[in-house]
Amino acid sequence: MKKWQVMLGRISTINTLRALWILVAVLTMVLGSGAPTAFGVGGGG
Amino acid sequence: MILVVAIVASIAVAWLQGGRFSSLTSLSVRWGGLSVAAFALQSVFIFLTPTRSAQGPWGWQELLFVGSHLLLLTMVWANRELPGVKWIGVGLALNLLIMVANGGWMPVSPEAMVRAGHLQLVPSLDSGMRVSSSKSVVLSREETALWFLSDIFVLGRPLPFSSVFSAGDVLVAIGAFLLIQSGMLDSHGRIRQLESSERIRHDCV
Repeated sequence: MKKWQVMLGRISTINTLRALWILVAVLTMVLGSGAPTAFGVGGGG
Repeated sequence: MILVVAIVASIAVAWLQGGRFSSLTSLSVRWGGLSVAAFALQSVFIFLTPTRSAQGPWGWQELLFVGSHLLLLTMVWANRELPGVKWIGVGLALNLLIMVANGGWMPVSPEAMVRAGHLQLVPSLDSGMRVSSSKSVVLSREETALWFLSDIFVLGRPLPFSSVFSAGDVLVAIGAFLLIQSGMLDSHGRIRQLESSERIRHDCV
């Protein structure tokens, strides 16, 4: 594998992790802000 | 469940319109650790503490529970410029207001519990009984301060996502939908715009 391909792979992994972190932050912000009764099987969603 | 449905629907709609999950990185979310910490704190009280009667003076559980919402409010304020976050902020403030006015938990009437078919979540429908796996406490309408902000909207069975939710929850759901749409689509639109302008420039050369 060429050096630029390795670099590109790393950047892509970092971007995916950043996107996941943002999704987690948004999810926890939204689920934490709401207060519905019952999540179907239980929970705050 | 209404919030999970809003998030899943928003991701699906954005996806169908050509949005990318990785484009979420275009959202510069600040202080994300605050919301994770607040949610973790809430989860302890929602899932791990036993269902009990919540009547009486405020205890440490209620104080910490309301405190977790103040953490969220701080995080929402820090991100107020992001699309949809103002909706989430107003919804959160309304939910917090009614919880503070009613002993730290979200009131839900016994009638709403029956209509939603969630009787298995409470040992009884007596006033002050905490609803298992939720932020709610059973209170009759007469006993509820600011009842119109409480969990009054019912999606009953046989609907698959039976739930009882508040006006604040509706605003939070709208905000969540808009925020994810913006994250997955806007930057994608910008990427496409950049790609096409790049192509035009290349053609000109």
